Amino acid sequence: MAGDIVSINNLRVSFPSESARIYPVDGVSLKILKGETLGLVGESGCGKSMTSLALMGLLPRPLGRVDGGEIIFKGRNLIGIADAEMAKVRGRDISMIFQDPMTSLNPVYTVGDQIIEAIQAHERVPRTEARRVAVDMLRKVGIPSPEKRIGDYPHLMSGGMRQRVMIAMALSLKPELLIADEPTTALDVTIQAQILYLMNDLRRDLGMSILLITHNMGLVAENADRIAVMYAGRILEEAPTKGLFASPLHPYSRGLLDSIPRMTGGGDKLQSIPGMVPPLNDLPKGCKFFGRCARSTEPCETKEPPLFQKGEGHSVRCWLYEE
Amino acid sequence: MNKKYRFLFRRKIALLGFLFITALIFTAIAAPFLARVSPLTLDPANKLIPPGGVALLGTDNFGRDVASRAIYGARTSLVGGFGVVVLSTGLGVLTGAVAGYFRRLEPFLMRIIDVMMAFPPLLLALVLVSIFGRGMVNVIIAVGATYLTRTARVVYALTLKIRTEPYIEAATAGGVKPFAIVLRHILPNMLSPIIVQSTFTFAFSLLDLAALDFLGLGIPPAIPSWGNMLSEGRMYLTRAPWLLLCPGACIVLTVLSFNLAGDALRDRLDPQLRRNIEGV
Repeated sequence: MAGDIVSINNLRVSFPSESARIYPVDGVSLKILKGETLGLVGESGCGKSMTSLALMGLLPRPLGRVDGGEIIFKGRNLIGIADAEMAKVRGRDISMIFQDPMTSLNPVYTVGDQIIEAIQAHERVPRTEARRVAVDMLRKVGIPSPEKRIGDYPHLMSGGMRQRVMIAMALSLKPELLIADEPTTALDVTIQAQILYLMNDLRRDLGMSILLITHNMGLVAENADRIAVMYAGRILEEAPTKGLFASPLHPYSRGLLDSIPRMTGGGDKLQSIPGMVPPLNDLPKGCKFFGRCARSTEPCETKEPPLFQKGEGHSVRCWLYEE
Repeated sequence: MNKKYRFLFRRKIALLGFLFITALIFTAIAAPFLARVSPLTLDPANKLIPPGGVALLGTDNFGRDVASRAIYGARTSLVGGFGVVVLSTGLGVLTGAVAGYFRRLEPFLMRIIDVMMAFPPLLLALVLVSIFGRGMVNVIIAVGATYLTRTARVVYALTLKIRTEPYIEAATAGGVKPFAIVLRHILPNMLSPIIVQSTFTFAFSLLDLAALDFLGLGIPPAIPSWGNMLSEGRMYLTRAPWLLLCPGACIVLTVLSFNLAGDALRDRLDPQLRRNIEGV
C-alpha cells in the first residue's frame, strides 16, 4: 500500500523463561497509514507494549529480542539496523510518549533543557534556536506563558502539564509516527480528554500518524481511525473503529465491549470475560482464546485460526468466520 | 538566613565541623603568613623546648617549630586527601557508571574491582607504595586505588537503579546517545550520594595517609606532614609528649570534622532521612 508509514510483518519477539523461550509478540502484522490513528487494544501482558518497544528498538536487552518478521519504516527495515542508525530514527522519525508523566522527566533538569536536548540530539542547531523551538512547542501544547515555564523543573508542574511537556518533547522534531503507550492512564479523566484532543489537533497540524496503545475501549472509540485488538501476542481482530464498535466479530472483542459500563439502562451486573489470561508459557494449542470463549467449536482446541477477511479492512482471527 | 543553609545551624556540632574545615583550608592556603618560621629551619640550640617558650607549640628534636610544621602539615594532608578524593571519585564513578550502564562490560570491570577489594585497604596501599616508591603522587595513587573500589561499588549500584527509571527510557526514546545518557541523565541524579561518599573518603584517606607516613612509607620525611611528625616524635614520647599531641590532635579533629560534615550532608541530601529529621 502506498499510504502506509510503517508496516509490521509477522513480528515475533521472544524472551527467555525458565523452560523455553516465550513469545509475548507472535506473528503480529500491522500497517499504520499516513495521518491516521491506529488504536492497539488489549489487556495487560497481551504484548501491545512489547510491539511498540520493538518498533522503537528499545526491547529490554539482552533478554528480549526480535526473532522474526520485519518492520518496514519508509521503505527501510528497522530490524537489524545498527544501534547508531536506530538512535537517529528514535525521536526524529518515530517518537514515543509514556504512561507515567510523573517519572518520565529527569528531575534534575528544567523541562526546557530536556526539550532542547531532544532537539539537539538530532539537529545541529544553536541553543538559542533550539530554545525558540522549545518555547513554540510548549505554546502549541497549551502551556501558559511558555517563556517562563521553560525554566521550570518537573516537580513544579502537575501531571497533565508534564504530559504536555512530554508531548512537546516528542513532537519537537515533527516525527512521522508518534507512539503513545497508555498516554493518559496516569491522569484524571478531564485531563485525559484534554491531552487526547491535543494529540489529535497536533496530528492534523503536523500530518503525523499515531499508534495509540491502551486497554481503554472508550479511548480508542473516540480517538482512533482503526483498531487492532491484541490477545496473547496475536492480533485477533482488526477493523475500522466504527465497524468494530457496530459489529465486533471476535468473541473476545465482543467481550471487551460488553465489559464497558453503560450510562444507559439499569444497574445490571457488569459483564466480564470468564477465566484469566493464560500464562505465555502455557498457551492453548489452537486458538489462544480457547477456554475462555463461550462460542468455541471443534477446531478451536487444536488449530489456530488464520485471519479471515470480513468486509472492507475488517479481519478476524476466529473459526466462526471461516468461509 | 537563606533556607538552604539553615541545616548547618540545626545541628550545632555539624556547624563546628564545617567551621573547622574552613579554618583548616584557610590555614593551609595562608601557611607562609601564619607560620612563625619555616617548618624546615633547624635550630639545634633550641631543641625539644616545651610549648609556650620560644615556640607556641614547642620544638622537636632538631629544634624545628612544631606549630609551623603542623600548619604546613595541614597543606600536605589537605592536598593528599583532595588528591585521593579526586582520583578515587573520578575513576570510581567512571568505572561504576560504565559497568552499570553498558552491562556487557560489567563482568570485566566489576571483577577487577572485586579483586582490588579482596585486599585489606592499607595492605594494598603498602604494596603499591613499595612498588612505586615514596612521594606525594605515589601515595595518592596508592590510597586512591583502595577507595576507588568503594566509590565504584556505590556508583554501580546507583546506576543499576537509575537506568531503569522511566525518564532514562524516555531520553533513549528521544534519541539521546548512550554516552550522553550516562553523563547527562544518570550521573546528575546520583550527585548527592557521591558528594557524601567523597567526604567520608576524604576523612578515611587522611587516616591512611597518616598511617603510611607513620610507617615510613608515605611522604619523604623532610616534607612536613602530620604522619611524619607522629613517626619522628614517637621516640620522644615521654620526654616531649607535645611532639605527638599536636599532630595527633590535628588528625583527630580533621577526621572528626569531615565525618560530622559528611553526616550532616547525608542527612540534608537524602530526602528520606531529611523527612524524618524535619518531621520530628
